[in-house]
Formats: sequence, structure tokens, C-alpha cells
Amino acid sequence: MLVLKTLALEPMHGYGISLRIEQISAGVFRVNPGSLLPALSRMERAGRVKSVWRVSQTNRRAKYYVLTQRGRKALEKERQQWDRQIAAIGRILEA
Amino acid sequence: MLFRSVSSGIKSLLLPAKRNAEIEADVRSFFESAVEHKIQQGMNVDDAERAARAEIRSTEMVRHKVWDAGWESHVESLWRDARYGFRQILRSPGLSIVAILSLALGIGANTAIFTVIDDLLLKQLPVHDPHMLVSFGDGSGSGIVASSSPGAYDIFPYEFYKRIASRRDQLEGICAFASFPTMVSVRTASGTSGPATQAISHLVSGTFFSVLGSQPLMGRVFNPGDTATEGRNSVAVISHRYWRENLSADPDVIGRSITINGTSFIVIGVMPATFYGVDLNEQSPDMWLPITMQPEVTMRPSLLKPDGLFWIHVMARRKPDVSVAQAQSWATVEFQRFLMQREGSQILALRRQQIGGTFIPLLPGGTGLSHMRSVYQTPLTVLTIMVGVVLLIACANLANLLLAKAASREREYCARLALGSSRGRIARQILTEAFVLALIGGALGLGLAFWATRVLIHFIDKGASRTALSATPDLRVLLFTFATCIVTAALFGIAPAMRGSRTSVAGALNANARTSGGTAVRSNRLLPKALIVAQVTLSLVLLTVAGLLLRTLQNLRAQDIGLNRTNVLLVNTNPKFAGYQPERLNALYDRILSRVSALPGVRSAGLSGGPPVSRGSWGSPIDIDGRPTPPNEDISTLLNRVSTGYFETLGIPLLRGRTIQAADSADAVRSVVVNKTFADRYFPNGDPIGHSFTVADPAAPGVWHIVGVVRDSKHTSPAEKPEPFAFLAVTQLKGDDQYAYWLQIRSVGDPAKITAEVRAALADINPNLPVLKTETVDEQVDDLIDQQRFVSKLAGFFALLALTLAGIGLYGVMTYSVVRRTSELGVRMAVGASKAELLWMVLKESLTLLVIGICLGIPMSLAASRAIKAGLFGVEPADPLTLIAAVVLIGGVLLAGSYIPASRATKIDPMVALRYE
Repeated sequence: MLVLKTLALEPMHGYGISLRIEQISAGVFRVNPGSLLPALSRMERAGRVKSVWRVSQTNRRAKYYVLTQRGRKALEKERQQWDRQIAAIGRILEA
Repeated sequence: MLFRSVSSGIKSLLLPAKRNAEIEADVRSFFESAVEHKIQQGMNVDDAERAARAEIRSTEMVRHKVWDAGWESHVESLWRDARYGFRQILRSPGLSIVAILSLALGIGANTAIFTVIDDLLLKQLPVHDPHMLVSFGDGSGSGIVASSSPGAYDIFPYEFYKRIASRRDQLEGICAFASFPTMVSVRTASGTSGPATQAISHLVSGTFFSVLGSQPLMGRVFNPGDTATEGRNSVAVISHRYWRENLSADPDVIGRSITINGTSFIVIGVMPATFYGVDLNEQSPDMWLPITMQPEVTMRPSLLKPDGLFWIHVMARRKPDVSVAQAQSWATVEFQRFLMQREGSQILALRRQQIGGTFIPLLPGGTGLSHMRSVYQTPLTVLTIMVGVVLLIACANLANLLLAKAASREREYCARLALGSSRGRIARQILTEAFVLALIGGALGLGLAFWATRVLIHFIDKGASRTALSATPDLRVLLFTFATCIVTAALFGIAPAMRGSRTSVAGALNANARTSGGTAVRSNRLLPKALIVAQVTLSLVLLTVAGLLLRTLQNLRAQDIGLNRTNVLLVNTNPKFAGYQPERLNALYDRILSRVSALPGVRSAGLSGGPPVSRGSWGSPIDIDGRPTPPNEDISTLLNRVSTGYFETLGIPLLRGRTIQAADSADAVRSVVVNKTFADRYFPNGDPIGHSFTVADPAAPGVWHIVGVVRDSKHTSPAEKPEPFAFLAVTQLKGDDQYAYWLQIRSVGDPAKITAEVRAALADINPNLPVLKTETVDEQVDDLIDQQRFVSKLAGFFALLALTLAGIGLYGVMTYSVVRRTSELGVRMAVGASKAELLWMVLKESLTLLVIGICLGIPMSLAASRAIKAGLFGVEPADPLTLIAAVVLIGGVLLAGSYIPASRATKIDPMVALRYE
């Protein structure tokens, strides 16, 4: 979900994703490539993201991952689910 | 999505290098981005690279993780296991060859038997929607009979079919066909000249093809109009095979005229190659002819009259909305009503009651009708069980082999466990190896089965050229073989796999293999031993059963059939095919007998209506003059018609009076010779000679005078009880019953040598007089008992197979045990044990197993023998001789199997043994 959300803003390459997640979460989540690349590969299989080779700002070829329509839907769904769970947990904690 | 996953998975399976390069490029790109970013943040190049590398850690690990994310990784590891298993198999080729061969034999035998079962019992007719077909009765009866006793019916008069044919309220369509095929003589050339060939025809109703839902390849099939009028519509539908082989696949065959038994028929259709009619018998018909042409085709008086005899089978197509039970009660009611009306207005109460007891069972007709089915069902069941047991024995061998291997690879497993492999992974690996073995064995077995099935089918159909049985494995057979492989592999792989995965890490790694003993090993050794005991037990059962069946066959063969069977040649002919009318027969018989008797090497010759021993028979109730027939007495008598020289030629001894002589001519007083059972039953206290009787069958009219009594001879089976038998003088019969089809010849030497001369002599008398078959009495007896021959020979073969497998198994286990104990044996020898002591020590182990196996096997064998009691002849199920022979045989083979490793143990050099490992 986090990866999908990151990609929802703009297409990004692998390292960019891990960097972005780390930055936004203020260092709470650190995604190392051992988890990120398999996850991306799985999502690619599932058709949630697609990859394109693009030339980066520094004139280097890098693999950019783009969120697909299916990926957007999946993100929406997972997000709703997450919200429900958080709300439920919150209610339990406050009770 | 699924498609993408599958296709990209397959792509990466096929091109793993490309996929690896992709992943590596991903990782590198990640790495480069990281470095770049770190440099931007102010690190120098070296530091940035180091930090990035630390973040990624091992590229290799990332690669593995990405690989594992896809489903293909499972396939890949399975493939790796299979390859590893294959290498393991190659590593010990000797053992593996034995294992694969035993599996191939086991699976091959199972597949072969299943192919035959599939062909004979399961296969559906190649027609439209076969499961909607129902047969009136089981179609096992065939011939022309005049019976109407209570009970289930499967054979009907034509009139009954005519009555119900047009009724559509319960069944969608009804068809009828003769209960027997008819051999006909066919001339395909124009006119009546040209050579005649024999063909098998089947008389069918006009609805036959439409009820089956079969379409012709060319032309048209029969329609109800073709059988609307008797004796008209001489049209024929021919089989694909007949068209190809006898009409050279003539493309203009439709409308061509062929002469069948002297009547001209027009070919109107050719059936496709897959169609073989409704009878799954040794020979499939060459042509189908309208049932209304019966008198012309069978050259017999019409059977189509309202009071006709019972001779047709009936099949129908069900309506989807009418249950079988409903249709069945409808058919039964119709049939009873039909029988009542046939009796006329005055029916005795007894008769009415008898008719009330008749019924027609409607049975699934989709598999067709077959007399072979009933003959071979029981033998095939017995054989199926036997081959199953053989496969079990083979499995036990395989399990032992894999257990031994697993034990010797214990250290490998330990190492792998210690390096982080899961137990499941090891178990899966052993199972995969088992599957590889099973599949190789199965593939070999399939080849073996293909060959074996041909042999089996050849036996069943007796080498007939046109048969509906096929040795080619169809999809069902392939599936069966594959399933057998899987089950087999699971059976023999599970024990070793569990063993392998239970290896304890601590145990074996620090100990060396030699001492990896103790408690674990004792339980490990128990399983192979139990398997050996099971093998001994099962082999003993198979041997006993096979022994009993072989004794039965021997007894049947050696049984005195009441005639001298050596040097007798039987020739099957048919004067009808040469156009002889009954009036000219007696002259023909004279010429044949005088001509053949005069041949050099021939002692005597005689003619008869039927062969001396055969399945079919002619019989009729009789009425002895001056003897009131007690009610309920069975007065039916078997009949045959014979010429002069019949008894002399077959060596049936005359007990009283005289045999049929030349003086018994057409105008003389009718003479008959009876057998001893006949004389004893009807004349227990007096001399039958001089008495006379009448035969109820209208074919043998008049009063027959008994002129002689001969010894009983067997007629339909060597195992039968003698029945009353009367031999009528063939020359004194009339019409259709005057034809004699068999010529018996007693030769001086080997009867095979005079065959050519006899043929020439017959051709000389009339070139059109065909020789349909030449046989010896032994061949005919063999024909009668071919069911027993089939089952006993195969049973013997399978029992020997089982025995061999068990022997190999014990040999393997003992060899393995000796090798494992090499150092122990060396120590024993070093401290002074004699060779004999060592030999005994090793032998004792296998003897114990043998004795346990035999003790378990004897009661099981007795139980199995009792189960096949019905199939035995002249031998008791608990025949001690057979049992002892089986025990001795199995003991001998197994002792031989364990003696070799035992003697190897005594040859161990103590010094070598102690340094072993």
C-alpha cells in the first residue's frame, strides 16, 4: 500500500521509492531492496504497476515504476480497509 | 492478470538467464540511484558506494527473493529435485535398473490388463450418446430357440419386435438384430461367376442405424422402409474394412451389386472405420443386411412368421423423461401380452402362470453386447487382483531400495538440515526421486503393456482379423497408467521420505556412519523386514492360486473326453455355399467319404452336423415309445447327425448293437445310436436296442429306432457331466437338417500332413465346396477351455513374476545389510567366528523372515483358494500338494536370494573389514 501510494504521486524508480517512504515516514519505515524489489516484481505480475526504462535527471537509464488503473483501484480498496481497521483499533483503545 | 502471471512465469522458466539479468539490472539501477543520491548529499564516491552496498546487502539474496516472489520458483525447485533425483538414479545404475524393471513389469502388467478390461467391459460403442441406449436383456443368449420358460428374457421372436417397433410412447426408438452373425458367401464380381469369399453379415432392422445414431461414411444407411416387406429390398451396408479390402475402396461402390448366397444385393452405404456394430465379439461384421432378407441370407426357412422362433436381440434408445424402470415395466407387460396372444384363446393355468413369470430387464446398452464379456469377466477380475498384488510387491522392493539409499545418505541429509534446509524440503526431494523412478518405470511399462495387450487380445479373439478390440492405449488407459505411477510412487516413497525427514541433526553428523546405530537403526531395520515378510506372504498366495489354476488346466486337458483324440483331423465345410440342395446331399456325402477314405494316409472318415466337441449344440425333448413321460421330467436330449464311419473315426467305442451303416439310407427305417447315459436313463433295466422314440423338433420327423449304444463322450466341456445324447443318421433327415458341416478324418500319422490332400480332394469333387476351417480335437478342446487357459497361464506368469520380484527384494535387502555390517562381521571373524557360523548368522535372519511370511501366507492362501473355488476342476481348494509346492518354491528362491550375500559375508577379509570406511 505504501509503495502504491508513493507511486500515486508520480512514477519513480526503485531507490526513489525507498527514499520517499523513508522521508515521508520521517525514518520510521526503511524499505531495503531485499523487500522492495520482490514486492515490486509481485505487483508487476499482478498488474498493479508497470515498469518503463527512462532516462533520469542525471542522464542515466533507470527503471521507473508507474501505477496502473488496476493499481489505483487496489490502492483505494486497501486504503479503505486500512482506515476501517485503524478506526476499529482506535475505538478499542479508547474504550 | 492470470495470463500475465503465467506467461511471464513461463518466460522466466524458459529463459532464466534473461530473468536473472533483468533482476540484476534492477538491483544495479537501485544501487546506482542510491550512490548518486548519496553523492548529492555530500558523500564522496567510495563512501557512497559502501553505504549503498551496505543498504542492499547481498545482490544474490535480493535476486533469490525476487525469484521466490513468482510461482515459477516452485516449478523450478521441483525440476531441480527431479534432476537431482535423476542423478541419484544414475549414480547406482545396477540397483536403479532392477528397481525400474520391477516397476515396469508391475505397471506394464496392470496397464495391459486394464487395457483389456477397458476394451471389453468399459468402452462405449462409437455411436451417438451411447448412455441413452438400453438393451432388452443382457444379450448373452444367442441362436435360434423355441423356449418360453419363466425368467429374464434377452432373445425374442421377430413378431414381438414388429409389435412394439412403432410404439414411441416409452422409448424414442427400437431396433432389432439377429442374435448371431451369419457367415455368407459373397461374389463381388458381376454375374455369378468369379471366386466367392466368405464374409460375416449381421441381419438388422431398418431402425438399427437410426436408433444407434450412426451416420454412414458414404451413401445412406437403412431406413424403416428397407425392412417393411419380407424378401424385398436386397440392399447392404458394408463396413469400412470390407470396402477397403474386398472392394478395393471403390469410390463408386454405392449402387454396385454384390451376390450374397446367390442373391443379388445393392450396396447402399459404407460405414466409417470406427463403427463395428453392437456386438463386441471376436469378429466384427463385414456387412449389415436387412433383417427381412433372413431366408436368403441364412439359407434357412423363414423365422419372420408370426409363430416364429426366438432369435433376435432388441435395443432401444431411451427418452430423457422416461425412467428405465418405467420403460422396463412397459416392455415386460407388452411381452407378456404378446406371449398370451401367441398361445391362443385356451391357455392352461400353468402356462398362464409361466408367462406371468417372464420379464425383460432393460440394461444399459451403451457398451454393446458381448458374449466375451461374460466369459472373461471373472478371469479378468482374478487377474486384476493378481497384477495389483504384483505391483504391491514391486512397490515393497522400491521402498526397500529407497530406504537403503536414504540410510546411506543420512549424513547428506544432516548436512543439509544443518545448513538450513527444511525437513519438508528433504522429504519432498525423496518423494520427487520416487516419482521420477515411477515415471520412468511407467513409461517403460506402457511400452511393455502395448506389446502384452496385443498378446492378450490375440488370445481372446483367437487371431481374428476383424476385431473391435484394440491394443492401442486410449486416453483412459494413459490416465490409468499415470495414476498408477503416482499411487505407486506415493506408496513406495512415503516411508523413505518420512525416514529422511526425521533424520536428527545431532545424531549422525558427529558420529561416523559405521556407528550410526543404536536405537534409531533398530527401528529402521524393522520396516525393510516387514516389507520382506509381506512380499513372501503375497507371493505365496499368488503361487498357490496360480498352482491351483494350472492343476485345473492340466486336469481339464488330461480329462478323458470319451474319444480317441490323436490323429484326428476335423474339416469344416458348407455344401450350401456350393449350391447343393438337400436332395443332392446324400450323393455328395457318398462321394466325399469314398474319395477321402481312399486317400493315402487316411484310415477312415465320417461326416456330422456338428463337431464332436463344441460350445453350441442341437437339442430337443424326445418321447420314448411305450414309455409315459412323467410330468416335470427333463426329457431333453442332445442331438447330432452323423454318417457312416463317424464313431470309428473318432474312436468312440460301441457298447452294444451296431453303428450307423451304409444300409441306413434315406428310404430305410430311421436309425439312431444313443450314448450310455441315454440308455441308462430311459432303459435302466433293459436293452434299448429295438426300442424307438420320436423327437419333438419338427426338423427330425418320424420314429427313430435305436440300433446301438456307444460310450459317453464329452461334448461342451471336459468338466461336464454326461448327458443323454442321440446320434441320428444324417442321410435320413430332411431339408435344412440334412446338411453336414464337419468332416472327421482319422489319419495314419500326423493329421496336419494330409490337410492339403483333403483340400484337393474336396476341390476335386466341387471347386466351390469351401474348406472353412481345419482343426484337431485338441484344438477344439482348447477352444472350450480357453477361459481356463487364459486365466491359468497368466496367473502362472504373474505368480512367477511376483516370486522373482520377492527374490530380488530379499537379495537387495540382505546385500545391503551385509555391506552395512561389514566391519561388525570383520570383527567377529577376527575374534574367531567360523565361516559356517557367520553364514548361519546371516541366513538365520532371512530364514526368520521367510518362516514368518509363510506362516502368514498359508491361511491367506487358503482363503484365496476358497474364493476361486468355482473356477477349479479336479482339485480341492486346500490341495496340500499345491501348497507344499508353492512353499518349497518360494523357500528355494528366497534362500538362493539370501545365500549369495551370506556367502559374500563369509569371504570378508577381517583386515579389510576393519579398515572399511
